[in-house]
Amino acid sequence: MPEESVSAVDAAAWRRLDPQSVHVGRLTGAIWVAAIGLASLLGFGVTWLIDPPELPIWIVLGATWVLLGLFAWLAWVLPEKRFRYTRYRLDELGLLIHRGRMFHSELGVLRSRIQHSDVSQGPIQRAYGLATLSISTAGSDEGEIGLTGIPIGEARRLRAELTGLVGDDVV
Amino acid sequence: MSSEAPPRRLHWSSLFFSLGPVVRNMLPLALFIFATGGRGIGWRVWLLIALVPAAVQSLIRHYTYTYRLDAESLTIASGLIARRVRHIPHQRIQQVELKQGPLQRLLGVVEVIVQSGGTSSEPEAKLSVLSMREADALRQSVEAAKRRSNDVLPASEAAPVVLRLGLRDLVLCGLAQGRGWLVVGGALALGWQVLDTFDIELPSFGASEIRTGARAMMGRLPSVAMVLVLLAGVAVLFRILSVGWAIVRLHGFTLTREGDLLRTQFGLLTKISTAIPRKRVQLLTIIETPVQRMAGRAAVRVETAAKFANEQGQTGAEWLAPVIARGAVSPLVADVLQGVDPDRLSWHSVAPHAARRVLCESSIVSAIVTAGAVWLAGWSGLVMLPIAVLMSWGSARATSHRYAYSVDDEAVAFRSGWLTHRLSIVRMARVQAVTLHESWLDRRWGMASVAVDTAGASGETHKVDVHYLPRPEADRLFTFVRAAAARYDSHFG
Repeated sequence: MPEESVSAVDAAAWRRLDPQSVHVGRLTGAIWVAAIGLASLLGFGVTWLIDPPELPIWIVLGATWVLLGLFAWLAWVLPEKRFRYTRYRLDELGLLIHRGRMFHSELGVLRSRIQHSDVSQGPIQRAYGLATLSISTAGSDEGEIGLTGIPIGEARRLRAELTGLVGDDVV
Repeated sequence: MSSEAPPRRLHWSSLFFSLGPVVRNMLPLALFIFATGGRGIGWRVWLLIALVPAAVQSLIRHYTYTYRLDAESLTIASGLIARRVRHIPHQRIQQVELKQGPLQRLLGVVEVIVQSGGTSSEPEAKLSVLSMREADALRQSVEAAKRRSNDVLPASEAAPVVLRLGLRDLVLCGLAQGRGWLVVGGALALGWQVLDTFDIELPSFGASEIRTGARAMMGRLPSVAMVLVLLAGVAVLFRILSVGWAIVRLHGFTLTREGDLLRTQFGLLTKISTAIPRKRVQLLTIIETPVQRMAGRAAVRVETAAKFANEQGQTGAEWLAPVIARGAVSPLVADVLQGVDPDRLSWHSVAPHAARRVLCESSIVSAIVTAGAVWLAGWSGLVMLPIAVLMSWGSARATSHRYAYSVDDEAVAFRSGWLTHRLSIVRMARVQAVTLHESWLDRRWGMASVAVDTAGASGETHKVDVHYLPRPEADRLFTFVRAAAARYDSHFG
């Protein structure tokens, strides 16, 4: 193992996602769960009208509710987990992103390898003033890197700093 | 402008070649109709009528598709209603590949595939087909332009041949690679197609039939032995097919070095010739299968940034040497990787308890598999146990013996494999991103893995992805690679 040749730059501190991102994540999740619930109810209704299956209705409905409950639980828990375990830092070499706990990962994107980067905002994100920063490299596994749930101004600043457009806030 | 070259058309035979896929798709149907005699002449007429749209499309395509070759760029115009003009500067072209099937060879034409480093899964342009002369002109123009701007070493008059494979090499190559399953897979697919076309129904089994069937089979051990013999026979057959595949596909393989370009040329029926600029090599892998090791040989392949998949399912991965004497690997690789010598890397092994972890984890998997076999086939399912134990032991051994990484300011390398040895090298200049992974299992063992991401490394090829590192060492490796790679300030170079 080589000696530690580069000491980490501590000037730039680790940053977290915006706490509001939890709300955005949960809202988005809720919409998804509602959509899936509606679609499955509609599907069951139509199936029942055309060709009633032999299974008692309460089993099917029960199973559906259990599944929907699971989804809802995930939609509630995951945004909070993501907020808690995601952190990022910009140093002179590029961007570092830490994610997850059970499957923890640390990603190092090099400034000089960034092909392009976008800032995007969904409707719910817009309501909270948050955005997603996505960074593309020529890589095959980590070619698309996304950072979801940071303030829009922060996203623009990061993009500008990463792509060398500091002070040139183009959207 | 007067200096502009005139636009040109594709070779006239492209009319037929563009019909090819349509005809190929209709072939099973046509065969069926002709074999059964059809019902009257009507069927055949319908079949011909079905070809008309394709023929019209092919005609339109031929007469609207033009290309123009200038000193600095290739311009392709196509489309009847929506005109599409594509302008490809020679600078951006990664690779020009010439491909020639048997029929194309007869007509003296060739398919030209132009690749750029874009992220799309399609090649940048596919000129199908050009006469041999025009294809050469195109290729030379691209290379001349690259040479002018890239300060590529001037090509010497006679390009030195780095590697030329004879029949013996190809046989060895086929034996080592075991690509026979490709042929068998093709045959199976064909068989399926026939069944499908003739609407033959296969008897279907439920889970209980499989269970009783398996029980009955496992109950009589002599028949198990027969199965084993049969399997061995199939394995031998696969090897023979694989040798055939290698001889046909890699016939006359030559690797030449021309300035900064590595050229390969091979193929008996479909002739393929590629040119890979040394700078475009993203990842290089040295493979040594047991057969190759016994014969003192190895294979070398490289990944380029071209992200396209051709019919063979290759994704920018090219054989630099399908088989090469072990002693010649080191100079070849050092040349391609601009000084990184695979035989002079200093290797670091991973965590000392890595083998124990692998043994532990694979034992659990083995236990589950054996339990499944017992459930399926009764107590004779215990036959699985020795196999599972052997596999666990093998993977544990592989982890403790070969498993290692190497890193310095120039490159990062990783080797693994128990029976088949694989060694991958990435130059720091080609590192796109570094990742450290620590799953909950890793955490229990105090380990983490570090992976190096490069362009064009999609697919199941061997990559630099080092598992079972002690956590602090993983951190150091991560930091080191990131810093070393950042010193090279380029995407593709």
